[in-house]
Parts: sequence; C-alpha cells; structure tokens
Amino acid sequence: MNIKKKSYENLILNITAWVILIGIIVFWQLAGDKGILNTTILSKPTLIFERFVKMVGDKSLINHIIASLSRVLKGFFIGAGIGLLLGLILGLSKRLEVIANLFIGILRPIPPIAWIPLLILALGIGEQSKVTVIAIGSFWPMLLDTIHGVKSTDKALMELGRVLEKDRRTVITKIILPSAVPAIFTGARQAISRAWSCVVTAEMIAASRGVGFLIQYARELSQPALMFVGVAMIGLIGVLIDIIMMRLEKRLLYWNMTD
Amino acid sequence: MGNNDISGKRINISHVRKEFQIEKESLLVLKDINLEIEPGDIVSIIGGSGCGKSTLLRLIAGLDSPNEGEIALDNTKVTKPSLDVGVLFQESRLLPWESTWKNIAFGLPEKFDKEKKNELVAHYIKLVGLEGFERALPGQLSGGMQKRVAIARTLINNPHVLLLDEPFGALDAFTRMNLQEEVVRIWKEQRMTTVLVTHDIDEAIFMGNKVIIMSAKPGIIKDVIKVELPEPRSRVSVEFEELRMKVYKEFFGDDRPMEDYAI
Repeated sequence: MNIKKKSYENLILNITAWVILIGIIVFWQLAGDKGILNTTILSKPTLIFERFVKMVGDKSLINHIIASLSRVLKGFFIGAGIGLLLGLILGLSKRLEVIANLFIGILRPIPPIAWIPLLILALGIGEQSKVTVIAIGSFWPMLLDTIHGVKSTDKALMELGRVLEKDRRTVITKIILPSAVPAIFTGARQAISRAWSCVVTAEMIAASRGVGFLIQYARELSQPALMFVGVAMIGLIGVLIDIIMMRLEKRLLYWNMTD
Repeated sequence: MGNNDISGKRINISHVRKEFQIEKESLLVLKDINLEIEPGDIVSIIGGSGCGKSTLLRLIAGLDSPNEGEIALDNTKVTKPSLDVGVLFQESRLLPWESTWKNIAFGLPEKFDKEKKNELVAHYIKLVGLEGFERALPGQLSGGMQKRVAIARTLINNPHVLLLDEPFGALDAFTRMNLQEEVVRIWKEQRMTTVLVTHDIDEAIFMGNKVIIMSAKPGIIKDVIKVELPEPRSRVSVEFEELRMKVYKEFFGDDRPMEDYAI
C-alpha cells in the first residue's frame, strides 16, 4: 500500500519534471518567435531541431559522436585500468600508500585540462594527447575509490579469514576484492563521466572531428543552432552512459541490491 | 559422528592477564584468570558488559594473546587461530556475495577434495535444516537462517573446540531458543569442548553444564555453578527456576529484594 502510494507520487513528480522541461522549450520557442530573445545567440528549438535532423540525415552527427566516444573509451580503459591496478596495490599495502599519499596530494588537485599544453608539446596535437587527457581524468576517481574500497573491507570478515586460517591470497581474492567491487564501481562511474567531460574540452583545443570540435566550430561560424545540437548531444550521451553503468551495476552487484 | 566419543580437547587457562592500551592509559580487562575445561564439556561464561568474557573467548580462539599467563588446548599453547577451534560470532559474518552453499564451503580449507567437499557441505546443510536454500544469498535469508549458515560453516571442519560469542543475542526469542536446542543437540552428538559466552542467564543455564560467573573491573571469575538438571532440560522446571535464582543472586548479591529479579 505504502509502496504503491510512493511510486504513484514519483510518477507525478516525474511528469512534473517533463512538463517543466517542455514548458521551457515552448517558452524559448515563443520568445524567439516574438523577438524577445536574440535568436542569433540563443537560437530557438525549431531551428536546432531542423539542424539536428539534417545532421542525422547526412551522418555527420554520428561521425562526430563516434569520434568522441572512441576517444573516451580508449582514455577510460587506459586511465581507469591503471587507476584500478594502482588502487589495489596501494589499498593492500599501507607502506606504499603512505609514500604515494604525498604524490596523490600534489597531483590530484591539478585539473586534467591543465596538462593539455604540456601534452601538446610532448605528444603533438594528434590523438595521443587527447586520449591522455581523458586517461588522466578517468584515473583519479578510479584510483581513489579503489583504495577506499579495498581499505574499507569489513573488519569482521577479515577476522573470519583469520579464524578459518585463510592465506593472504584467499583473503584478497575471496574477501577483499569482492567487498571492494561496489566502491570500484562507483569509481568507474565517476571515471567515465569525467572522461566524457574531458573529451569535450580536449577537442575544443585541437581536433577536426568530435562533439567538442563541433561546438567550437559552431562558435567560429556563429551558428548557434549547431552549437546547441552539440551541447544537447553531450548531455544526452552523458545520461546514456550513466544509464548503461547503472544497469551494469545492478547485474554485477546483485548481492548488494537484495533489500 | 553420532556416537558418544569424546572428541573435544581440554582447555587450560592459567594465570591469564590481559590489558588494553587505550591512548596512554592501560585498561585491565582480565586479571589472573584460571580455568580448566574438561574435554567434551559444555560451559557457559556469563557476565555483564565489560567483564572481559568476550576477550577471554578471543584469547582461547587465538585472535588475541594474553599479556601474561597462557592458554593451552590439550597441552598445546594457543598462539594463533586454528581450524580445530570453531568460532561462532554474534554477527553471522557471512560473505554477502556468496550463496548459502558457498558460504558453508568457505569454512573448509581452500585445497580440499571437491567430491568430499560437496558431500560435506550437503551433510551440514541438512544438519542445520537449510535444504532448499543452497543458492540463496545471505540478504535473502532471515537472521535465524543466516545464523544456521554460520553454524554449518563453523562445524564443517569438525572442530574439537567450539567457541560461541553471544551467538544468538541478535535473534528473536523463539529463534534463539530453537537454535540453542539445535546447538546442544549437535554438541551431544559430537562432544566438542564448547564454551558459550552470553549475558542471558537462561541461555547459560539451558546450554551449559557449568555456569561461570564473571565480574568486571578487573575481569575475574567470581563463581562457578554446576548445572545438574534432568535431560532433556526443561526451561520451566522447578530445578531450572532454582538454578536461575541462584545465578541471579550470585550476580546481584543477596541484598537485593526478590521482586527485582522478576522480569
């Protein structure tokens, strides 16, 4: 009864959110039509939609998206992969963690974008430097969440390992790693969304393809409709990535969901 | 299994002293504890919180070591945990991502003959009455059933010593009585030396052949009361009631009016 009531309430709230969104779009359209808003800067929904349909038709949009996504995936797997491995090592070894803490403390606050000039000097303006920026962006959340996950293994379960005379290897593979999976997953989710926001920035600096490039290019041509298509794509794909990760989490962490 | 062979080990606790260092102050938890538990016996240790009863159990388990004195099982000094000593904690401590079957199998050493493992796990699942729940995750089981999984995992190594640290404290009264009876039934079959730490007087009397009463600050053994009840024990017999009175009196002293004991 209570659950039913709650899901009903949620439905109403969700509908409200959509109504507000549609309301904003309608208002935007009307204000643009009536000349209240400057359409040469803010464009209007119909123009953006026209542009969107055209870009879907000539396949240019999908090409930009594929270019960005493949960079994101490369950077994510490299950065998050290294972060995961290093996180496991540092989480398991107190000594190494103490040493690493100094470096983490200095390096972590540096935004990935700040590395771009250096990376361009070192690696050129090609794919490598862009993928590296994304890798740096993905690396940090993965590293920190993995360390946290490994270190926060339930003490009671660690003691169980002692009582059952389990060797170090068994304790790591059967107790510590499974316990750390939820935290590692949180890290992965953050890492991929960070990767996605890094790709846009990286492409704004030097690229000939990609969603970030699209926005930058639209600004140069003063085509606000094109710009909004790019911006909307960033948001939509970000949401899609999050939905996919959440689905994956439900599957992988079945034991954490049974409540 | 099944016969009355005494398979328990003798537990010898001599001059055990345990202090904990908290900040810069040291807290004396156990002061000169001496106790001998006969092979195959079942004893209850009872005391208020902070009397060191759980600490004593952890020392027997080899999870901590005493500052002075020593604990021996059949004349072998305890230095670390061993599969020969089964421990049942207050929380069930199951691996939440593993099934009932795998949680019970986790009690066995990693390198164990697969066929024998299957046989043993099946046997213990039956012993604790969890048939049909082999594939359930801990989160899908009730508290009592989780406890049964933990019991099976503890017993699967056929330990010679069984240590129970307030094992049923978090369960409802009916489940608690049920599991007390089951553990006693299993003890009667296997006769592992069993030590139960509890703060529940009824539980201590129902399960133990002796009730060891501890008092706190510093933790010492105050008295040992022998439990002589006709088997199977009844919780509502006159003899049980007399023993309960005796333990209450020992606990609170004689100067307290009787009405206060009634709950």
